[in-house]
Amino acid sequence: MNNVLGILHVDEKTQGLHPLTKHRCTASVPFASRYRMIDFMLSSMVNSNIQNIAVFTTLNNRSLLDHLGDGKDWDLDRKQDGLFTFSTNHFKESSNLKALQSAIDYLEKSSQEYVLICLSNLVTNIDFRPLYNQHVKSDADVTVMCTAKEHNDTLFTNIEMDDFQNIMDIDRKQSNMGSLDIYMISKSKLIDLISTHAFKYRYIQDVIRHNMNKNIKVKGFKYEGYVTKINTIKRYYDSSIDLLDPTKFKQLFKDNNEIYTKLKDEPPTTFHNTSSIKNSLIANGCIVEGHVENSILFRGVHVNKGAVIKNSIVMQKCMIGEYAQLDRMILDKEVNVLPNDRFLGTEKKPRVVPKKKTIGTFVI
Amino acid sequence: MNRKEMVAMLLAGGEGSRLGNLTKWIAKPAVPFGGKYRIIDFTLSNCSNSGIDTVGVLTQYQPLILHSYLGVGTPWDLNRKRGGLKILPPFVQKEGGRWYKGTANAIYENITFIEQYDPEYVLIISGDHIYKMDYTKMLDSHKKNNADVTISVTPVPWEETSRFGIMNTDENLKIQEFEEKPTNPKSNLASMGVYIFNWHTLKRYLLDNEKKTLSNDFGKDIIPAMLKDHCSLQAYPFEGYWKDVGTIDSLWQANLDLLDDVGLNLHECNWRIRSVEPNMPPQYIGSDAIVRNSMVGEGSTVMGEINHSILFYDVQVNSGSLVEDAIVMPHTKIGKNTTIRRCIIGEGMIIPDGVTIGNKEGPIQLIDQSTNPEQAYNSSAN
Repeated sequence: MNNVLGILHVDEKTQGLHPLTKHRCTASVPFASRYRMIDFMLSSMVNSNIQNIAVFTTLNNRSLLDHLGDGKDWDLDRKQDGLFTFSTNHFKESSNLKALQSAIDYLEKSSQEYVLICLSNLVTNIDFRPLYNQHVKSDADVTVMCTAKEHNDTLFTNIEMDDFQNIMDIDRKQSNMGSLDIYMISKSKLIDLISTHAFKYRYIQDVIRHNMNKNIKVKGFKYEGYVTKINTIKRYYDSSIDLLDPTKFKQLFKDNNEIYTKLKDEPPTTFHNTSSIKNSLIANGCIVEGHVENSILFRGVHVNKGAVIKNSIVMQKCMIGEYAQLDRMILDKEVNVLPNDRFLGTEKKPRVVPKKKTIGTFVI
Repeated sequence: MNRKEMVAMLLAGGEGSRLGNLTKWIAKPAVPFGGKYRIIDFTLSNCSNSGIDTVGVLTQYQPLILHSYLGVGTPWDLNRKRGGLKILPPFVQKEGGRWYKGTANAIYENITFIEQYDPEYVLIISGDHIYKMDYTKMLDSHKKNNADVTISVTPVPWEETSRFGIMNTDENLKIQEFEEKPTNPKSNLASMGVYIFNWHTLKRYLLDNEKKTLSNDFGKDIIPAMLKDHCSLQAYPFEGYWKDVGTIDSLWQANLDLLDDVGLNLHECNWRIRSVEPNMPPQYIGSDAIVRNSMVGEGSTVMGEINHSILFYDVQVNSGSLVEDAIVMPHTKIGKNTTIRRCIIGEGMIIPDGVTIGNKEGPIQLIDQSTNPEQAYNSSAN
């Protein structure tokens, strides 16, 4: 797969994740105790031996660029190829075709013959090699990766595929197959599509959809493994809590396909005499003196004595005061929960506390 | 300019023979410690936290794992264009090859390395100790006292003085006498094996000592020779946690010290101990698990009971099992209904279901690949 260049264009319109996306783009929303959303796709690419990866970012990219650095935690700090970040504010309209057009020099200069384009923040652990093998052997111009879904599920764009992997329809009628917005395409064809259509379309997926029965032959590749897209707070919460199920956890964290992330030198988590923990995922660097149940703690969370956390997601460096109680809450980074207070969300609507907030009244 | 004010030389070639099978395949500085680290991480982190950016690491015994762990020093921010971490194993010269004969000889053989940086001071440290120390404060004291050498000392219990090199000082902390493992100690100030030398003085003594072909050791030769010549030897009292983890018992104890609030806190963010990160998924604590007064590393799965123990990363403890007062090293699986007490479980061990290991009292057991299961594991009655 070192003949493939990877493009991650992950600036989706995800209003649904507000306020988690107030200070950051969706790609850098913390997920699963120690990762950011982008880690899953980026690691999948790296594990598939893609060594030249371009990440397109737009607004709100400070946190993402800080996270990625020079790519060393993904082994992408290379002299030849490696990680490239494209961040210019003038694609405000988030037209991914314009963004690709602005990077056409980079595409032309790269030695790879094929391009893998990913347009969604998926939580998954995909090996792209079977997709590449099928694409190279087939006569298709574009191979789109799909997953099985419920007919009325709107998380992924409807796609219709026949028994010979030919794509019949995209986004027209309900189907039991959804597009993952992952495309394999030859570089020359991509450059050709960009230069021909950039004036007319805004999105590469629209170019493919509108031209697929004319001059673009599109095939599908069905991915059978675990994949989810996170576009609302409810989905964020449910997908997080899902990971407490060992089978789902193992599908995402396969033994030989590591998910890489920025490393932080946190010590192992310390549990005190007064702690009790049930069915929870806990990252490094936490200090647990209270009770944690069915919850997810990120790095460096301090749960003080007598505090009770249930069914909640607590992000980096939150401080939970003594005897405070949380149920069905999502705490963004560095939230300070004062002692002795209770905060409850509901099953339908988990409550989100924005970054760096202090919550609680001074109740004794 | 390549000039550095102070260069650190880290002695990491020791065998650590008293650690038994733990150091069969790895040098003592590479022995895992504290749920995530290796012993050498403490001195390397002390260097980088003290702003020392040039560290020569002298290796000799079983260096494979140590060398690959150190790499070019990236985890400790020592991958520098000028200076940085350099691994210095013994080498062959025109007149033949030589092993490092002792601590001082190892420095002698690397005079060329040190001279590249034309330093004023050389810091000699060892990769065998667990402590957090700001070497710049020690350097300040060295300069203030106008000493030829400053030796860091820490008080040890009087009954343990016979295990250490003991410094007898006057009221201004000038060292008057040095006694190696004394039976009738006059002081309880032990040398921590941390020295700051004026480089020109040290170089002279190294060259001189080499001609006399003694044991080539700092404690046995260099320091006594300097004392004899009435050099200025200054003690630097270190306050804080310091432990030589030379034996299975002290290694076990030092690990558990992390839980018992005796002055070694890894959560302090202004003096981070850095290491090669294993990058494992988060740890999972199961519904029936009990975890008390313990440290658990990433990627571990706990379904049983953990009490007053350190679990490294990627450790599995299955349901019905109890781990108490134990250190469990990485990539280890502990079966169901097994009881483990007062042990160190070596890396990559698979402990079967329903056995009992270790005793409530007595010496600490090391369980590793060479342990005979029939002797170490008692099948429990239930």
